[in-house]
Amino acid sequence: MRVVLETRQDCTGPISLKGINLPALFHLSQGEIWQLPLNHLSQPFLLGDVFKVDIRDSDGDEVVLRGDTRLLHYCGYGMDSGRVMVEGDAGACAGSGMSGGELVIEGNTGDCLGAAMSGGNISVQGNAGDWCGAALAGESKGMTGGVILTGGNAGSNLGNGMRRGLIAVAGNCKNYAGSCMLAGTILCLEEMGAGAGVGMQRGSLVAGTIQSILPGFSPAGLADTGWLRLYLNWLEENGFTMPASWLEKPPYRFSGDHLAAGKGEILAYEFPQ
Amino acid sequence: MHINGILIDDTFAEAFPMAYSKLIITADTPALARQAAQAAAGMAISIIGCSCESGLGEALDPAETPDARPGQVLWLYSYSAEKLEEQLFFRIGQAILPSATSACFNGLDSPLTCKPGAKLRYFGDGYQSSKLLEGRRFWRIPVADGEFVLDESFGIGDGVGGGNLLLMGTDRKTALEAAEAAVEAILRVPGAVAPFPGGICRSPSKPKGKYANVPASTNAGYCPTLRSRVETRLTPDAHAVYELVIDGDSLACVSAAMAAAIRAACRPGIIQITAGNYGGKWGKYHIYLHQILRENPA
Repeated sequence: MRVVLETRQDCTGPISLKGINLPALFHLSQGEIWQLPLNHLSQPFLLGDVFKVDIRDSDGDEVVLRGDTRLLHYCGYGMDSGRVMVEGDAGACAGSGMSGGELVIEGNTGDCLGAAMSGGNISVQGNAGDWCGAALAGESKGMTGGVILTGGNAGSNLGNGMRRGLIAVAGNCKNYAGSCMLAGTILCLEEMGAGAGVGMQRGSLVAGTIQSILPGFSPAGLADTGWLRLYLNWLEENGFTMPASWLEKPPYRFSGDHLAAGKGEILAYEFPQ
Repeated sequence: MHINGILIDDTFAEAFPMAYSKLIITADTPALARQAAQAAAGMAISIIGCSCESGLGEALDPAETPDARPGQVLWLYSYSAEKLEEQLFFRIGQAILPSATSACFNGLDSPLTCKPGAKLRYFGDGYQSSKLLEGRRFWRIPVADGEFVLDESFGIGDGVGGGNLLLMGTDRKTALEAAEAAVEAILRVPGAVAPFPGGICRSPSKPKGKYANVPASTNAGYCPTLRSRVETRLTPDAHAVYELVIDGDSLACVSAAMAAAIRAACRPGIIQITAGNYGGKWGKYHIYLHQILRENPA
């Protein structure tokens, strides 16, 4: 079944999908979907007031969000199965708290993409905002599982407090990637900003180049890490084009942050000498 | 039944259920991967002596391995899942871990698994760490040329062991050439292994023997030098016998490998091809030679 929700043309303000379990729409009639409550312009509305709803048969179960999707926040929030496709940009907190299923965003996303997610896959063709894969407000852990693949760039505090899972960014990411990271893996194919890994306890940051290395990290030579080949191969298989040089030479390794547990690592192919 | 004028005995091989695992060993070069696999397969000839039988499978291109490096398939068989886990722990730790540049991955998706990696990680002495990718945990053990990476869990499959053939020849040279050709044919069947050295066994055995402390002893009926002292199984013009033992990931696999081996072995100098059994009392699987030749046409 394919459920298409298209924003009505008169929508102008933010729409929160936090209360809508998108995969559950497959079990509802069009009338029931219309009656679902949601928050628009900080006011209570019915879903049918804000979206046109179209239900069609299809091979797989999929919810499609289209129209002015920039207004949509919490797309795929808490989803545990199924597939959600956003045909355009998404607002903040897309995929946050999700535990399964697949969220595909064809454009850019706002902040907190996949924050506190515990499973499932998120694929963004454009850029991600700040706090991607990080903790939600008031929580101590970032994402605890799942995969976030970003075709463009990512903002600051990428994977802040991350506990488990994989974030891969095809472009650059801003400052403080992997800050306070507990474990997990973050790959940034191009440049990683300053302050990367600050306060990280365990886990791995991998970067094409890195703006600076914090004093809490110590050089640990060239790393021929078998696990990295494993990840690079997996990413290639999942449509991520890896720089050829990454497979030809080992990266430089730094261990830290020694001001925290010090069991983390930064692997960088180039860094300021 | 005759093939190329060679008698194919109307009998059956008696085979047994076995637990098996498929390992993918990778390294920086194909030679290093093969070397590590050979070391891990070392002396895993017969479960009679070491509770494990093994054989090398196909060499893998980088595109076929989890870490995009050259790889080598290794099959390990044992008589129970528990024993197999012991052998995996022992052989990965003793042979693959120390091999230069190696990594070791599970090659078998199966609902039944064991976790040798969860024990082997302790070689890391507290410096080990893990990565979890799509629910699959890999252990990273620091070693002096980088890290040894291995899967935590390995699949265990229901296989078949003890498929066998006995090739009787007019002399040792021709019997051996036929056996070598048969082994080549066996190893072309996906999932089949021939665990003996070069795939060939010159010492067909029988369970127990005259002495109480031996689990198996020479099968005197196939020994040319005992022809005058025992009830011989040899035809008058047979002067050398080689046994081929075959394990596989299914009964169909073992049957296909045996059929291929029979056809490859039907060369000048071979007098008769037969199979070993215990009267059908011990083994769950009875692999009839005539039947598998009919079911697996050339």
